[in-house]
Amino acid sequence: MTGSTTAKYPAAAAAGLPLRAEGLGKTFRSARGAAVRALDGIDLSIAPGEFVSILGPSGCGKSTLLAILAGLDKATQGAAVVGGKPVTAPLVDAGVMFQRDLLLDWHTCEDNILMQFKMRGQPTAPHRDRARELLALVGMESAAQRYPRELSGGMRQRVAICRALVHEPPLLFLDEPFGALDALTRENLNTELAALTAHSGATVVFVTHGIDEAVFLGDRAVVMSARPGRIIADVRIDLPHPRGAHIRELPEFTAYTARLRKLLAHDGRPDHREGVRP
Amino acid sequence: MSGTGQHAPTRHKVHPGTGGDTLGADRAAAGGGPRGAAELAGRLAQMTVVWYVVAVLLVWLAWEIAIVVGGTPDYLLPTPSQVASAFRTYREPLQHHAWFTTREVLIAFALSVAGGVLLAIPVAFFKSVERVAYPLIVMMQAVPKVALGPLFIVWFGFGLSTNVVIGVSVAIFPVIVNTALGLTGIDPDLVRLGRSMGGSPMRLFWLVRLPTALPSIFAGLKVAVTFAVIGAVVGEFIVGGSGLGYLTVSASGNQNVPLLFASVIALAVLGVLFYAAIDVAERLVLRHHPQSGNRG
Ligand SMILES: Nc1ncnc2c1ncn2[C@@H]1O[C@H](COP(=O)(O)OP(=O)(O)OP(=O)(O)O)[C@@H](O)[C@H]1O
Ligand SMILES: [Mg+2]
Repeated sequence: MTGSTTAKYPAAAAAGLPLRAEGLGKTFRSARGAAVRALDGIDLSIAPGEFVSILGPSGCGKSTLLAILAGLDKATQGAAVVGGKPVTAPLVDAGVMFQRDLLLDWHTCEDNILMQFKMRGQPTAPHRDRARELLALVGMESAAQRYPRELSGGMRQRVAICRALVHEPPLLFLDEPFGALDALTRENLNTELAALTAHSGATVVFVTHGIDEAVFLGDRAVVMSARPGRIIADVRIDLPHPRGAHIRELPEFTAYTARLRKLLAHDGRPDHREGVRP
Repeated sequence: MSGTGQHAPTRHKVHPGTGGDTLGADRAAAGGGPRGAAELAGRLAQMTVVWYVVAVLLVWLAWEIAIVVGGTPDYLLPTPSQVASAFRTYREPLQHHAWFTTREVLIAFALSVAGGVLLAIPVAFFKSVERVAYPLIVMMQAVPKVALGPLFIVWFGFGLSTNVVIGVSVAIFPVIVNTALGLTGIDPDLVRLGRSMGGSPMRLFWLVRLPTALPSIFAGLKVAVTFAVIGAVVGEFIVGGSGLGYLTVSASGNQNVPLLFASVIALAVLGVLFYAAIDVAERLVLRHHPQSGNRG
């Protein structure tokens, strides 16, 4: 599964798109009318082809940020700009993977992946092989004709990843794509994703709770504070490319993870800094 | 319908404190006895048809007991053999009237499904339509349809169409309500995912919304087909002339109790067959939907 040959990956079909958030804020109205501030003053600029990991405590607005960037939700302050244009409608150029797999129960895994084309009103037949290749890449080749309810949570998640990748999008929004996987499968898929995105040149926004994979995959790691989500750190990860398993052995790798862990533990809230008040 | 899932819940519901029960249940589940016979019984128990046969036999038994033990006179309660001979004697009229009722039910059901689903779409997608529609539906359902019969006769005459209209007037509501419920009950993230894939509203409807609503729609269809039978028979009571409903009224007027029984049984069989047809269609269409997962 890990023997990464270039044949498995498509050549850079479309260069990644640049992406910006300008003073993004989001306030939800709860059913009882109370205001919930999920995001506050998010400024973020992502270069074409860059891989940005987003870390932050649960409930800090990571999924909300991703939805706004992908044009699936509206910001209440500021704007998202993709490829120089403000985002006003869902970005159909993007590959989006939600936190939940959202597979359609009445389709096989393969047909779930091909939904990507059906929804666009395109024929699915030319893409069947690519769908199978991707399934093989995530170790799911034997599940192509199975139905989602026969699969485990981690298996379903891997099918959802394939669905987000199959149309080779220049933009990828991944919300905890490996959350339900065992450590080993997760590391293998990290390597595959690194190779895949390096070859396609896609711009990637990758939300995760895994500090390890944030460093392993990211060109940058952005750390958010607890709600309302603000960016409290934006760490450039200067590790060599291509990213392979050996990277985890580097002392720099450990230094990055330690630094991010500390940032996350402090959470950006003064009351968490154990008596140290500036 | 839920027969297959009955064992697991009772076993899992046992609290840790009541260890004795758990042990007992486990021992029962491990079951020493003749495994082959138990397996066969289990497989038979999963077949709905078997339970229908059992139920019919029980009714038959109660019937015989009422005659033999209770000594009910046969001008009130005919013997099974009298009813059987009524089926033979009146085969032609029974067939004729059953076919008439079948046509009414089929037309009323088809119109209810088509109209109900079409009407449910604006109810599901426009809040304002929904707000107006529900009071209307509640008011319409509150009117006893029998009371509308004479009016429908004025409008549609003494014939099949009046019975069909009465059938539709009762059967369309469960279709509207359940379809609207199914269409609005969709996971909003599923819709967002579809939109991120470039899905137009039309494609989202056909590829995501409608399939998601199908289990709810089928629940509505099952109620609707039963209601269509009731509506058609009520129409036949009022309109007269044709149909199994009319046959029961006429047999009752002629004190022909065996024929009365025969036509009621024929109606029951029709009703069950219609219901079974929807049930089979549901199992086929929803075989991959999780709700129908453990139905075999
Ligand atoms: N539709 C909504 N209505 C009201 N509040 C919402 C809504 N969606 C999200 N929120 C709130 O916004 C905050 C951020 O939610 P979000 O899902 O973005 O968090 P997250 O960072 O992705 O968390 P996790 O790591 O647990 O997935 C939460 O406090 C949540 O309760
Ligand atoms: Mg989230």
